[in-house]
Amino acid sequence: MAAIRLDVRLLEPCEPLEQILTTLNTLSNGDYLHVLHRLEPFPLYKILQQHGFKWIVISISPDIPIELFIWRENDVVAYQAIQDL
Amino acid sequence: MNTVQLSLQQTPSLDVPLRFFLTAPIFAMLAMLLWLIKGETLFINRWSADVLAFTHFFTLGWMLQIMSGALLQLLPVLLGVTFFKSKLWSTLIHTSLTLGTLFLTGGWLFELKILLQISYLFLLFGSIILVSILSFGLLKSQNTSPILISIRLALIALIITLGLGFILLTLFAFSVHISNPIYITKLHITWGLIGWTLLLIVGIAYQVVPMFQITPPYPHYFSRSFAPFLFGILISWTVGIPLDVMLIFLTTSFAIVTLDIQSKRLRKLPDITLSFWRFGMLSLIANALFYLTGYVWDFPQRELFQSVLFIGGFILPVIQGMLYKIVPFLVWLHLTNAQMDLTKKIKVPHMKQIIVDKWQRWQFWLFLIFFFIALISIIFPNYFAYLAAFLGLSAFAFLEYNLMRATQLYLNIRNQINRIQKD
Repeated sequence: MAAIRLDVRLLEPCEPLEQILTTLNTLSNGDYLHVLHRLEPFPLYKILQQHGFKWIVISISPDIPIELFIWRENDVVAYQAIQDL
Repeated sequence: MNTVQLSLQQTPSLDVPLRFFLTAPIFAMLAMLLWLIKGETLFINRWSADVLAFTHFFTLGWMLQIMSGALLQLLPVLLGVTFFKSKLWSTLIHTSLTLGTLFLTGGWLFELKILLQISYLFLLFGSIILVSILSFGLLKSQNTSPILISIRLALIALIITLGLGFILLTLFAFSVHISNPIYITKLHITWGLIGWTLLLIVGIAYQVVPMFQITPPYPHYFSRSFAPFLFGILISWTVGIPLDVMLIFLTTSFAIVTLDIQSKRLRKLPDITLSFWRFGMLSLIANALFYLTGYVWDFPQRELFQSVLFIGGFILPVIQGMLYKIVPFLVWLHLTNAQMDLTKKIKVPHMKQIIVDKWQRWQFWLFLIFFFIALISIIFPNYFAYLAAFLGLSAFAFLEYNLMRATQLYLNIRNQINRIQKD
């Protein structure tokens, strides 16, 4: 089980989306992806939904305007790990 | 954990915005063809039918087309605003606007009232659908970001602009008497350029500049107050309070703030959109300076000169800069989305490879040369009008070519994906 952290705040479109999608392919059971983003990535959500991922988006820090937690829909362990944060 | 509730949006298919984006340069080319035919005589009388056709090739054929396409695609993609049956509506809007603009300009150019009457129907039909679908989507959205506040106010300004335009068109098309048409024309122009166009560009800039140019966000005090303040000033100006200088001050403040955040880019990479936008902002400042010098020094072509500065120097480059980001981004996004399900992946080109950088840069320089020659031709039409028109025609044809190449690349890769899906 691991949290994979991905900081895409300084990347130009389409690199953030590209990196997120590439990293999602590497998620093992229990893993979740923690993305630090400058803007809310609306185009990503449809892709996540179509490919069986769930996500939570939070916005609590001015330095990190958007934080995303993404996990596989059926991965209870990853979901629990995010809930425990 | 503080979660934000999100609604899932349906990204409209790529042909929804592309049909608008690919049509718009053709109208700009038609405007340049008209200039090429009429030469130095085109702008002799600013109220002539030829000038009306020329300006509406840009305002309806270029600006309204691109902005409709951008709103129908960008609001769902970037902000999660949903439009019901967007493909159907956008087909109707695009067809009505295109035919309406052709009949309108044709009616003026060939002095045929019947064409103006037909244009009235097409434009009214297209406008009602456009305004309804945008209003429905924007009102339904719970989003209260400065972006949407600005876009909502821009939409109100569009409704006012179109309403005034239709009043004026009844005069041309049906010879209905209207009182004070010059005053209504002035309102129509100001609400169209400052209200609708500027407010929309500002709203889109809040999203697009930080996102694509990797700048800090617009300052909170600015993004929260600019659009409501500008809208309030426009209303006050409309009812007769002389606030022209305030309008100039506000438009300049947008240029200065944009240049400021662009100077603080977090990654300083060369970028053609940045060049277009910087040039646009400098033109906006130059326009303000020319306006202010008008109090102490005047020349006969001042109004026309400032129109070229505002439309040719600000609106046209900013929109072209936007197209060079939006089109490759949407092509990349749709291709990436389409190939996600495939086990045998197809290489989707990086966004920067979708329109060759060198061609964008050449087109930018060609446009810049056109713009300066166009400015000079206002003062010396006998010598420079034909050259300006020819350069403008070439610059917009080059833009169309670049956008067509991006479309062709999309279609080629999309066909490969379809073939694999069939296998």
